[in-house]
Amino acid sequence: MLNGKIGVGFVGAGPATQAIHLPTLARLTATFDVVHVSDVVASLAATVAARAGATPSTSIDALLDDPRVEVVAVCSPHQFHAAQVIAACRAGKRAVLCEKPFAASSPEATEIAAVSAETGVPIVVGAMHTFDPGWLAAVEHWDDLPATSHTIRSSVVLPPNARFEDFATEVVARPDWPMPDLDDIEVRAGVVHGGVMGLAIHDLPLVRSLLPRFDDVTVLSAHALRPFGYQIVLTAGGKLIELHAAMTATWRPEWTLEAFSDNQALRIEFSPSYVHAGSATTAIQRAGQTRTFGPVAHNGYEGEWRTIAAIVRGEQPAPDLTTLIDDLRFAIAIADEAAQIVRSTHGARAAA
Amino acid sequence: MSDSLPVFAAGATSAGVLASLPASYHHSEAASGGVTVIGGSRGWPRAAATAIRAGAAGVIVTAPEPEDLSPLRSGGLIVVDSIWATNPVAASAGAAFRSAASPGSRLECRVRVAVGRSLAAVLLDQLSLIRALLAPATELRILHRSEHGFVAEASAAGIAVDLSAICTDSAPQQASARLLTVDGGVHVQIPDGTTAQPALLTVTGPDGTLLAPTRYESGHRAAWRRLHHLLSTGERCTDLDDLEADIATASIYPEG
Repeated sequence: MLNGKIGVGFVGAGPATQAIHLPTLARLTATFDVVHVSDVVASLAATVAARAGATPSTSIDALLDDPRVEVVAVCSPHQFHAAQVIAACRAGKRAVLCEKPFAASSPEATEIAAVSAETGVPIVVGAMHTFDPGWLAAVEHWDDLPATSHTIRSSVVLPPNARFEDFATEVVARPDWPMPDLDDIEVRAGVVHGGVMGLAIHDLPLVRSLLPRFDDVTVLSAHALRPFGYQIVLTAGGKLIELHAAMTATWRPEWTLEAFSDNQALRIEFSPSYVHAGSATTAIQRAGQTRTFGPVAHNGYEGEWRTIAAIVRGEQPAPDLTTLIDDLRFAIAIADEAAQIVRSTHGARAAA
Repeated sequence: MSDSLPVFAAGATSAGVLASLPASYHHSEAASGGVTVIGGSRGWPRAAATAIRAGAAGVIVTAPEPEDLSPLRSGGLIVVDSIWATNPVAASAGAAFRSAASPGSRLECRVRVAVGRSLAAVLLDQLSLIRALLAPATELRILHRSEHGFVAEASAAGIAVDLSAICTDSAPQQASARLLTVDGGVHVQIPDGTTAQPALLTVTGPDGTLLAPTRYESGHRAAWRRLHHLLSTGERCTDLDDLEADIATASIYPEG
């Protein structure tokens, strides 16, 4: 450790690194020191590294060879996650934070888990809502809701990412985000699949924790929403689940997760991505009574880095890799089946 | 016709409404010549027809269950007091929703209802609300149903509609309808009329969110006021035709 701080290296210098992690670590300077930023675009690596006073490089090898890097944060495009997480484990780092999804397929996830077990390097997936104090309060106080809930709903209404990225930092080299052509059925299926793996995935670990099993995912309906979003109805573990997201030009974000049983209702209102607007606020209702938890001053991003610090210091066990793999399998099962439903619904209408 | 109409009704709800409209209505021990209020439980069309034959000038049916309306073909003024659609917010909410709707948008209509309620009746109540907010629902398709609720899809005025009902006793019954637009949306939350708790109608646009003025009036009271107005003016009432159409749409829901 450097002066008692944990050295962090970032693989990928895009908006997630710039707008999420660097501002988060700026709130935790007594604990972490950003020492290295790598990106295949040299100028981007240099610019972002300079913001943190870190060393830039253009390859993960240089970052992994840097002995000051104790924790590797993988924030590259999804398709590179698995190989880079494995490389970080093989390099003997103390922990790896990987942005979600941490793999593109179940076999990839299994391979990562095997390498993590072999090397003893803990892996944390950047599913920030699972670290949000509002969610943790729900888990602590929901009594028998996992057993008794029958209906679960996740709804996300957000403006395009740029609105909140720009509040979080001054982003450089933002990738283009073209509007999808939803008249094209394959694009529509891709929007639904990408929506699950990129947006719903924030809350799917939370949804799964309310299910007794998830090997029976059945998607009943799936639609791509304009300009970008999805509406998916499914059953899993004997429960009804609705997943909804709409990214519009609205200024007003609404991000909620709800679960209902015959005598209890849970409602979690999350703060939007990127910005540090405090934790979620959780309300648990029973007949004639509402208990509210939060908000507190830190959100799930800060929660995940606090967790990493505790793991590195030996104060907390590493996350259960089986849980991470199952979370990924659950998401992939929904994404694949929902995309197929979009294609088949279109086919049925075309044939009618 | 005098301003104050005799009303033949029983039950605490009717007593409360009557107490809130003392200049418009007064209690009567007979149906003849006045207004009769009946509950919408099984067999209500025959009860309504009986009241009309007994000389009732108008009938209010509260929370009607889906039934065969043929006993009412002989006519008579009937006002439907539906749990969500008669809330006094309905008129302004309907204007806001219809104004915001555009091709490609979706209307979400979700209700939270008490455990054990007839889900066929819950669906009928939702169809009445969708009619009030946007247009009659068509192409209804039930995606999933259980004793805990249902999820369905439909279309209204060319707009896709997502319907859901969740059975829970965790909180008071409530309907919530939302239509997202390219830069905002319209949202209304309607309580079940047990109290005068107001519905909340918000319209969000680029300049902010506007909360419509709240009205601390239950849907029951609004229905009674409307019947008084109809009897005073002789205006035509389409409640029964609308209800019959919605019952036909809801008939795909298997009871039991």
